[in-house]
Amino acid sequence: MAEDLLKVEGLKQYYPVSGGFLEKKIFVKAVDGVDFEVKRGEVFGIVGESGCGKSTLGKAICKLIEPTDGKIILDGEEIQSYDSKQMRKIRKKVQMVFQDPYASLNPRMSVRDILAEPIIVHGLAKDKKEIDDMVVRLLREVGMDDYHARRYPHEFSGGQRQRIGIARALAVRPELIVADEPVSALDVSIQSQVLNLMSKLKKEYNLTYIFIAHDLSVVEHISDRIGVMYLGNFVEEANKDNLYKNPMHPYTQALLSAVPIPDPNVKKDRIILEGNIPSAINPPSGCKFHTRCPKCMEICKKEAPKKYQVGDDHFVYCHLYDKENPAVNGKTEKAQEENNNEGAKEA
Amino acid sequence: MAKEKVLNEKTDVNTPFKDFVRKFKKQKTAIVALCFIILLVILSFISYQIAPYGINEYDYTAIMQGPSAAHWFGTDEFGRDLFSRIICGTRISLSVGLFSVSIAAICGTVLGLLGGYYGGFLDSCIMRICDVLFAFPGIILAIAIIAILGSGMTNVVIAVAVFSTPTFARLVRSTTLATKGNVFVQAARNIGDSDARILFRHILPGAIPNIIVQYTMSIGTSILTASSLSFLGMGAQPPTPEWGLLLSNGRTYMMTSWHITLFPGLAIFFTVLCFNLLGDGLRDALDPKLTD
Amino acid sequence: MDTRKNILEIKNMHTYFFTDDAVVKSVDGVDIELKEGSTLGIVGESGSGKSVTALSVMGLLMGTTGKVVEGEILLDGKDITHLSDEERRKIRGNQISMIFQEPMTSLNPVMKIGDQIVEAIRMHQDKTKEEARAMTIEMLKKTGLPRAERMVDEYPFQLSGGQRQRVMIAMALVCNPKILIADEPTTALDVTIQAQIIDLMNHLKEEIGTSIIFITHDLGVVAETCDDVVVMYCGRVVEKGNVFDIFDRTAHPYTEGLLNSIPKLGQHVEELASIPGNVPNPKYMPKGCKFAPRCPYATDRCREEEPGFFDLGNDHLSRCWRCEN
Repeated sequence: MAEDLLKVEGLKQYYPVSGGFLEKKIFVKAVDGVDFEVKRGEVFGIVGESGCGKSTLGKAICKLIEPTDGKIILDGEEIQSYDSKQMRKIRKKVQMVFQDPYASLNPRMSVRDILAEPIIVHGLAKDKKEIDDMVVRLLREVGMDDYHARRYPHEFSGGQRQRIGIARALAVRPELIVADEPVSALDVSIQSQVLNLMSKLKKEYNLTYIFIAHDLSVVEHISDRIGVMYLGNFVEEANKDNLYKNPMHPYTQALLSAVPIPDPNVKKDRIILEGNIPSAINPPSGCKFHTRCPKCMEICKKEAPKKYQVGDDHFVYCHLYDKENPAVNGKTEKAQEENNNEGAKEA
Repeated sequence: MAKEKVLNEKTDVNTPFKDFVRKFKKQKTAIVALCFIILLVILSFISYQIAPYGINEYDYTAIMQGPSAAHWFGTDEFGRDLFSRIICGTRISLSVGLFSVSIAAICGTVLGLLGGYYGGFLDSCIMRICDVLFAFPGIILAIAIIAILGSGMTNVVIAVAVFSTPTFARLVRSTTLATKGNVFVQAARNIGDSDARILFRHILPGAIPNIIVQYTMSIGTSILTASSLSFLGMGAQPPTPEWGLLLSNGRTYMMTSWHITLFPGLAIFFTVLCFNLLGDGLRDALDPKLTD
Repeated sequence: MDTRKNILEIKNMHTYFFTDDAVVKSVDGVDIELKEGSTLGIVGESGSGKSVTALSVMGLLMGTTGKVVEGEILLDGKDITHLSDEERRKIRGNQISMIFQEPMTSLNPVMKIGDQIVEAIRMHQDKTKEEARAMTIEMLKKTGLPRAERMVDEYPFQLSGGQRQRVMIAMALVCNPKILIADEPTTALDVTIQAQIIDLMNHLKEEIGTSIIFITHDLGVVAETCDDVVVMYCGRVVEKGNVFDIFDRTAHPYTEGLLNSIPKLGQHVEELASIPGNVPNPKYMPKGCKFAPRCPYATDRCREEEPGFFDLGNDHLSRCWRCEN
């Protein structure tokens, strides 16, 4: 198997919320201790609902915010404590594509200037002529025309803007691209264009993606491996076949069953979760999902679950799969059996 | 029709500047004001050449005469031609306005950018100083500065610059704060832009329209303040043909010779009005909220 | 053949927006029928005119430059297109209600939730404050909100997005309207919350007997909730029929393209099918079929001449030359 391009260990990202004079500081625990690896050349999908910390995690990896704690190891280099000068070198390796194609392009700059920025900042071109050539090449790579270079962002549709955003990330020839909800603001027909473009570019330039989205079917389409996040933690991590055919964590199961299927002939039984996502300021004790979990046990309220391996390339953070714990042992097998049955049914 | 559209699509580039010009063309009053300002600027360069009389040409045969064919605006107590003195005063007033506001705009912009972008202690310091300056009425502040530095036109420029700076600092700081949260600024940081590059390439351009509007408006105010200072005897000294000073001289004879105060007053009024109208027009043309 | 009567009929409606230099034909000849007690899905991408259609029906275009310039809207057989604002207001909320995409901006942030609903009730019904308040609590309970008694005295910011959307639904349904128009009601919500809301709407439809127009871009949601579907593109209806005809016997290339471009869970494809190009700028509409520039089957005829509807049986209509035979 390929080497790890990125390794994240115990990453925490807390935001202070109030904590005025003489008050105890209160934190939003946006990301609360996350470990994962991304192998060179793969697409790692991160999926979760709003407020689960997936975007914060993406920004922390790109060091657009300073992580509170934990390690980010990119290509063998620990970058979590790098300052902005040291980061400039790293930025040639890791780039980000943003969610909102309307806000992520400076409205006062022409497309040529937007794409020239990374080239100038990293000194990738000798003179103006070379910059112009590179800009045109970038535009063609993302399926746009040369004359678009002189235009301004407001003249483009959402899909075209997202192409420009991708071209900008591509300009420095990065190894890793963190794409934060790159297609969620786009129309369905445009969404597939952009997804196809990203797949094509990945092959051409040997890119590695971290693909963050809330739409499970989109993530499943593009990713090799997927991590499901809930309230600042991963709950399940698996390759896409395992995750889809044999979801282990109750949250993943609910998430999968909630996705509407575009086929009126399929009527499926939904697992409808009760209630809302709790606040990240004061997350529930123990397993953070226990307040909504249909299979909640006593231990879930007290202890946070560890990472259990439940199959080849399949990890889950849930007490149901703790074989050592006698309190849950009986249920474990039952739960697993159920899952296998469900998996079989779906297949 | 379709063919024409394709051609346009490739050749027509709609730059923000073109956009501005298109919208500014709709501002009729502002365009008239701009024309008059251009006239005033030209006048300030050639006034000494075209003035019918020298500015200090005494003529004791024509003291305090009303407007006539020989003296359009009449003469003052020494028989000097008021029209000549007023058009020559254009240069003084415009340059005071221009210099003081330019200094204020540059200082204020730099302070506002730094304060807004870095925040924290630096920001607190800058904004508290601005608050202190704001707490004084402008003219009193200017008088205080003149009292320290002594009278004279250079000091008037400095005084007016000091009291206009906080306005710019606040304005630029607020747009900086608003812009720095934008995703495109984050995107610039992600590319590896340095702080300086982000400030001057991404944040400043967003503030420029506001700065231009404020700049234009401030010129009017600062011309007014400079004249007031001269009127109070703290700015230009006789026999300089400064408008405020002319006004002050005429004050003594107001009951008998109204023209000596009326014409300098009108000159000040007209110039300030032009700058304010232009500023209003620019604001409407540059306001992003009015974009289509 | 479905024999239920049409509660709402939109006949050849044109809604245009008048700007300084152009007329934007947002809705350009739309015919839609809503059968009593059924759910109709209007599907389309941004700029297809689906929201403008809803606003036209609601009479909510005042204050914009838009105007219904042609056609009629029949509510229960009565033409409501030319009613005065006052008469429109009586219908709105009472007979037709609407819920919007963004639940945060559709509620007044400085008014208690209960008061907002009470106001809506008292506008249409002769009820005392106490009666209206009791109705409000009753309705909030029906939408599955916990602790409804206390929630009436809370402000919108104290609720989550899903709860706000439930409040909007309660507000829309409290006067037992005949028709509920839901404009992208779940787009701003998370999948698990979306599932809750869809479940709730299906449930309430049966309980209250309201007919629903469900406007969305999500074909998955349509497949799960709707009986009939209308597909819109560039201000026109391009295909309509019952949900099985639309999904199983797709006739229009645009519908086909939409269906193919959604990634489906569990199906692994190397490359997604996609519709090339972008939605045309409303200022430069193509001649002929509006979809021709992006259509894989387009012929010269498509580019020159706009097709009308072809009936494929069972009320399944498609606006495409390929369906002529």
